[in-house]
Amino acid sequence: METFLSQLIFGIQRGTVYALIALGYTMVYGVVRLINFAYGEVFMLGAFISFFLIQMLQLPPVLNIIMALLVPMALCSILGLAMDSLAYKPLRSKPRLAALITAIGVSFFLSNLVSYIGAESVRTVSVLFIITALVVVLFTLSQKLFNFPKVTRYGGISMVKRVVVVGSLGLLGFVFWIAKPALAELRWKGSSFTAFPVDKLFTVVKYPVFGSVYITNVQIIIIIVSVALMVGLSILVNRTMLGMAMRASKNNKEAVSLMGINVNSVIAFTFAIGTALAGAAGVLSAVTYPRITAFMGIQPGLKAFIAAVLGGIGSIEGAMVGGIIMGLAEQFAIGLAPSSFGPNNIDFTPLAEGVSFAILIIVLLLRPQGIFGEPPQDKV
Amino acid sequence: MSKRNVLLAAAALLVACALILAVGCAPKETTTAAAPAAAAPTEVRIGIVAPITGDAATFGISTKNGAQLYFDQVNAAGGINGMMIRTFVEDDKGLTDEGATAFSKLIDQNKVSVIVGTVMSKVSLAGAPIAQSKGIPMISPTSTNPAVTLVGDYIFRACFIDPFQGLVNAKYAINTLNMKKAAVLYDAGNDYTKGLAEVFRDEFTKMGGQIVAFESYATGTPDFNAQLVKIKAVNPEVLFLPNYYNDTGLIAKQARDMGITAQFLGGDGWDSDDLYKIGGAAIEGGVFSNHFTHESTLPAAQKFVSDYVAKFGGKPDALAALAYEAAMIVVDSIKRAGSAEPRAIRDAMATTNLDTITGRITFDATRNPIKAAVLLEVKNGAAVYKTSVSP
Repeated sequence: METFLSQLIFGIQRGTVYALIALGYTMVYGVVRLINFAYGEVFMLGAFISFFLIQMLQLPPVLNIIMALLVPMALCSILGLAMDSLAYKPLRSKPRLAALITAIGVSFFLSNLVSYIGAESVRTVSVLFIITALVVVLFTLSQKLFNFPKVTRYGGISMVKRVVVVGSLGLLGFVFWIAKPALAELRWKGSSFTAFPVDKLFTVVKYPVFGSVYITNVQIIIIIVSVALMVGLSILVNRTMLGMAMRASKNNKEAVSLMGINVNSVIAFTFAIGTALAGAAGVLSAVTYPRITAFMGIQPGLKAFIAAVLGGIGSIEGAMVGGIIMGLAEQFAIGLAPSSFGPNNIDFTPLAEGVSFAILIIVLLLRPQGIFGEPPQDKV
Repeated sequence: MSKRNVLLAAAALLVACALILAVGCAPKETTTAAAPAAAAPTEVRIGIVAPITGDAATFGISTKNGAQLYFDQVNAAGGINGMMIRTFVEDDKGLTDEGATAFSKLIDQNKVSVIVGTVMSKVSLAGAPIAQSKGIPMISPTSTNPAVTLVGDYIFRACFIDPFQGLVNAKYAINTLNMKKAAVLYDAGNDYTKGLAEVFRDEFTKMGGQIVAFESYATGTPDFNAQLVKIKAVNPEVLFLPNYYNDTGLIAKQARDMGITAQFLGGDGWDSDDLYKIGGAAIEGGVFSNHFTHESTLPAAQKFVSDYVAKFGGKPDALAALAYEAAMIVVDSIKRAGSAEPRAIRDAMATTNLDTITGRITFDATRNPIKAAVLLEVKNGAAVYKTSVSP
């Protein structure tokens, strides 16, 4: 009984992280039919931003907690907007495969970028950013002055967008340049991992639940925050005009634009919310498992995607339910797998760790639309 | 596109290709010695492979520092019989394919005569066949999996092997701690942890102990709770964690949070400052086997520690010490061989009989050194010497 209760609590703890990331996947898929594989990296960036903020701004405890959660969420939603306008929007009218591959590219780019930034290499990265900004400026100047290279009918980006790109790249380059002494002081080493300072946020207190089963205050806070975020999202999607616009865009984008709503803004907002949730998931995960590394987002991102598919991609309740089911399934699969079976001591745990992928195969074979999805209709 | 644009695009493409080739083909890091770069007879080229970034980054940096320290000292004293040492450093990132590439690059492109590397057993197992087939002697400072030197007669190592390490831990648990119930939690995707776990299991049972749980986890996962719940249910007295420092810290934390009170035991993969950063109070009191302690009273060891602190600012860990020893063995072999020819270096290395910073080193028939282990205990966020165990 105690074992079962323990596994249940830990399974739910795992599941809430998957659910938060899966919400991002499902919302974006619902509106633009794009699977944004970069959510794993946004998850990782949320954890990292939180880590650096905690280290650099030494705030009093309660303020620290609020800042450590909200600021990464805000920055991640800005990142989501940037990803949308730079990587996905130009491909909106192209075949979906192009956007999918771009998403994978964004994912690789972000995780490798973070892995290369160390105290020694941060200035190289900043120089790279500043040079890219300068190249855009040079191109623009040569287009204006010498009309070379020619701006074709479908190519070229607007002046506003160029200013935004140049400005943000330049700003990032500058931030990276001045961040070098801070990184050196933190002995940050790029692609290695580092310990997330949970003790700067809470002192861990254990509450006995049943027999020797404990639940810590960290776990309780994480579950409460996750539930609050999911409830907030539900309210947003079901009770506000914006939410109605998002649900309508899921159904029929053309009709929505005919109603006078700017679909691009709705899509941008969807991205922003999705990435904010992924960033929050990153912070919560870093508090639960206080070890962060540049490639920590790949596995959770993948499993959250499977959770979204399981729950019905496109459906928000599906993402939440799918995430929890996924966490519980993994936990109990490992918990029940015999680790030394038979005379040859065969270890089934590695198989159990892969139960999430088995779930994906079963879902796609038996019910591809997921739990809450609509069955594919034959339209005449 | 107009003809002019096509020509310009082609020119830009050519320039880009040329730049990429120029940048990509330069060696990643070279340390030129004091003497001007010269033709082969006046210099000997040595390669260093280590996981400078990745899951075991502190290991790689320590290894690079330790080896580089000795080579610089030798160069400052005039080189080996007048030959200056030129080192080439490659980062294997703790990954087997990167390791294989690093070895190939050092041998084919940089034309090294001997390689010091690498740290992780699984990466050494990937690189050793390459060194063996190309006839370049390789000495791994810290790979403890027995299979590494069995690849061929060009492969050596500077450390003890896991069968000995597992025995040391089992002996400590049964004889010193008087604990007969042990559980093991190891990384299923790692030759080192798997090998060490199996050796501990076999030795512990041979000595009359009982292994109540033998659990594994997938490489890279941060969540060990599922396995730890199973381990808690069988109430072990000892929890053997033959894993690297990045996982061990988390496991210790999660185990203590869950109410597991077992004694933690482990291997040389624990040896890193980052262990205490992540493990915090949970890893206090844990005991692990290691190759070297900076509290050693040997005069050579103390000189090494003070040299290392003077150059790098922090105390050396076992990896730096082993890399320093491997470098000592390499230089001694080159000196006795009298040339920079790989075959000669290998033959000289096999007959090594050298006083190093942990005592006298000789190689046995499978090119493993005969060495003692030290047991260190985690006290107040640092590793403190407990006892030595000889083979």
